[in-house]
Amino acid sequence: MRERHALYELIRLLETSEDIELLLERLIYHITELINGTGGVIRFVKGEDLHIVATYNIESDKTTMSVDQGICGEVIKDGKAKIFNRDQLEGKDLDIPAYSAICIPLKVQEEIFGTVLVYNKINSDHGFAEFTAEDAELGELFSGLASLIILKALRLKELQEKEIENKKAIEQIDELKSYLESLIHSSADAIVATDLNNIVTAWNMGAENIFGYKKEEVIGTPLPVIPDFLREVERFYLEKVTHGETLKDIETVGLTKDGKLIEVSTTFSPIKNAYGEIIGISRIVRDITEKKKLEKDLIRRNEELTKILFISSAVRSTLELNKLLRIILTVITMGEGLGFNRAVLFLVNEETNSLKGVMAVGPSSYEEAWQIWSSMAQEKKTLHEVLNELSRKEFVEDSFLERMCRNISISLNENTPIVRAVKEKKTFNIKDVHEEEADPVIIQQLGSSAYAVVPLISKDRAIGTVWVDNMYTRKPITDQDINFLKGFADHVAGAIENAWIFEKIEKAEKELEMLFNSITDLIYYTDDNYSIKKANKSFLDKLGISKKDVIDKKCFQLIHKTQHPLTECPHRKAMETGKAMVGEIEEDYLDGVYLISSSPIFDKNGNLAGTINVAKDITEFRSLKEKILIMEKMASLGELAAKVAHEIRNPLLSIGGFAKRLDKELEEGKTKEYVKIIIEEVKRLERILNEILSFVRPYSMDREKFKIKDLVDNVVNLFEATLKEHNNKLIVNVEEDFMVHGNYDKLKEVLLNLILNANDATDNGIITLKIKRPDRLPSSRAITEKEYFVIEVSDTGHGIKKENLKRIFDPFFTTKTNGTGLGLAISKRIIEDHGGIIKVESEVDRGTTFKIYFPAYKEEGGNNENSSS
Amino acid sequence: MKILAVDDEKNILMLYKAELEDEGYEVITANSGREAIELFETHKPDIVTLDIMMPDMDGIQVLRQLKQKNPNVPVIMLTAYDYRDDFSIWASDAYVVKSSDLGPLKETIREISEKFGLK
Repeated sequence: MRERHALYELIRLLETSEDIELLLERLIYHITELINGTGGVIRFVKGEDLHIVATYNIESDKTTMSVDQGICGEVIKDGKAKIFNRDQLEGKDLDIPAYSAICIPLKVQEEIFGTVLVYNKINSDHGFAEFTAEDAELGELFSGLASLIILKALRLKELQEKEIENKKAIEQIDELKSYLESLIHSSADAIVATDLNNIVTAWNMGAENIFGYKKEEVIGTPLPVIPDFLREVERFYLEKVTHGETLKDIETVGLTKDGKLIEVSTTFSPIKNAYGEIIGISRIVRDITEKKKLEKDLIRRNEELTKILFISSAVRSTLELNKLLRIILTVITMGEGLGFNRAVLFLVNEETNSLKGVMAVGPSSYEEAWQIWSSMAQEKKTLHEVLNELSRKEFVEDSFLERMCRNISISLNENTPIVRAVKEKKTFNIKDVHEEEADPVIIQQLGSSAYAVVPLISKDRAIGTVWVDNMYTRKPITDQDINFLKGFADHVAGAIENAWIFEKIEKAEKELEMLFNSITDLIYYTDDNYSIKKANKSFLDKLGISKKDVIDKKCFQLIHKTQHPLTECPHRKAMETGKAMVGEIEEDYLDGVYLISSSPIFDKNGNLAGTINVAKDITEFRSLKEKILIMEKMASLGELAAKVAHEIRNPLLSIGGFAKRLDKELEEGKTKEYVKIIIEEVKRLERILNEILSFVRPYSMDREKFKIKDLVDNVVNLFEATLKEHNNKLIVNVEEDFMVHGNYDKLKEVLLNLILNANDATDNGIITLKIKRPDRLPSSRAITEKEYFVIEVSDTGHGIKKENLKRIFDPFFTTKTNGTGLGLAISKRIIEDHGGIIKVESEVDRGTTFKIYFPAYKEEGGNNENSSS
Repeated sequence: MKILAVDDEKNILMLYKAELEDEGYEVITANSGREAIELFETHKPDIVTLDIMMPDMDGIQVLRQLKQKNPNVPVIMLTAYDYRDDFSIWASDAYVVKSSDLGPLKETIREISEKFGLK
């Protein structure tokens, strides 16, 4: 009955086995009740000790005892239940004073893990008794079962505890993880991870803040924050990282979602998996724009003063506008200078009332921008060095930007910021061209989305503007930037204006010089002592000497080859009277007649400082004038001569005619001789009459085409006898044959005339007839499309005296005893009627050369030779 | 063959008459333009030599009238100088520059008479 009850309880115990303490308490209760004890204790072995784990009806102070101590010790040693009577308990370590006790080991498969100790058996009379063997048996059975239950419960508990521990560990990990995550998440630095294909795998809040991309936008896409121009460099970095290197604090440039370039410091590290393989790259990116700005501000403040001083000295070192402007713009755009991306200079053009782009500095594209920046970073040139370089360099810059800017011209009638900057002398910082009023031209041509304009003010006058932007870095232009630019602009405006004025003066001077030199009249300045201070090109050309041989030389020595100024020279008269003088001077040395106008120059005090002299070659003009006079003379002379000739001819005809009749009738004798003389003289008179008439009367000119050589051959044959008279030799040299369109007979007359004259003037000499191309045409034919050839007749005769040389073409001028003085006059007229020129050179006792410049006939093309009147 | 010589100078007419008669021609002379026209009608000469410059009537006018009366009679113009450019003498059949040498005149008369088939 007791056993059944006990078993039942045991089975019930199984239900409570989840709570091990409760289980043990129930167990000790049931065992104690089963074998009728007053109280019991369960102890578990833990290492070398026994610990109380549950008690029933006992309060023991022996919570811990050694495994070999007391009765429990004995039972653990023996491995089986043991009954102790009063005597046996004497002197033992007991939990309570006891009459009897039973101790049962708790064991599973011979391994003892604890003891059950029950004290003081109560008999049916409620007195103490001793435990029986049956109690021991029952107790052992029960304990055996209980052990299993306990063990199971213990195992369960262990499992549960482990589970809890695991859970705790997981919780801890979770906590750590979330802590880390929040750390990563809330980091101000961008923390970005990519796989080896540069696909983003992690993107923190910092990254969102710095680059503007949301996590959802970038995860799984290629990393978008690398500017195109940095891709190569980035690849280089990644190469290093994928080989296990960590790159710390690399300063570079990042591209934000809205296209801005920001300065960043990046640390690259490899991401490894559990096996240590590199599977990705992490970047910790810090936006250092602010830091850089601060740094720059600091440097800026420190260097501002020195820089401005330095720049202004560089700026003042040149008066060359171009160079100056280039220096200024370079300073504005250099990182070490004002650091703008692009700078364009506009200057006011007063003539067109507009602002004109003059010069521009800056890259034309992102690629160029990167090239420039990287090369600058490599060379690490200081502002000082760059400016030095610039001031030595000759500028032939012709960037795309500059060419574009030169085409920009904005009317000052407009009212856009750039114009207002000039008109109102105000600075404009346009932060967004779409939000604020801006210059359409600038947006269109320069593609700028934000820019600033600062007026260039010199002496209270705006002479232009400096325009800047940060096209490539998209860095906003700060007030500080503007202030510095403004200060700088104020500083250089004066220098620009100086250079500008200098350039204008230089230009005007050049123009004047050009004008001076392009005037065909001879011009020269002299001081108050006839020393030439300046002379134009015509003057130098005419004298055939170089500038250095003219300056500071006396004009009369150069021009007239005299030691004193000529008395009749207008220059001298102007010097003497202090008034402008005009007069003609014939200067044989310069081969012509000059109209000279000489004007005195006075200094501030009214003293004569020198003269300006203009000499016009009027030789041609004068010869024309003379020619007209001659023609007028000839015309009246011609009419007179025609009348006279007619009146004379008839009597001559009668005289001569009858003399001939007489001659026929007379016998030989003295009278017949006389008549013959009359006949001869009449003939001579008639010849003279014919010559005069043929000169003063117009003659017809039938033209035909023939070769000049044919004419020459024809003429030459006529001379044999005549040449012999003077023992002369005629050499004919036709270097080149030319076609002529003219009057054969008249030209034959000319050649006959010239050769006869040469023969008359020469004895025992050589007469040369040459046909050739001219070396140089006379000045009056210098500009022509016609082709000319030269007929040259020269002799080795006695020559013509200088005073006669000019008159030999005058009608009725002759040095021959029996000439009419019309031969050369007629020849000249024939040549001129054909559009040619006849010139003579002669030297006494050396000989004379006649040169006829004659137009050659060209078959094709309009040949518009003048027909004679 | 009958030649009418016209000139305002009697001496010259005398010379021409003597010289041309020596050549075997019959010569009548007129001292003025008017007389020349009268004689041209009455005497019907075969050839006329005509001075171009005469006081009463210009030789050119005379030439025109003679040609109107009978264009078939050749007229040789005698000129004081080269008249080639003068259109008005184109109507004449030949011209000779006056000279004390009558050779060219005689030669021209010969050529003209041959050309016109005169005796």
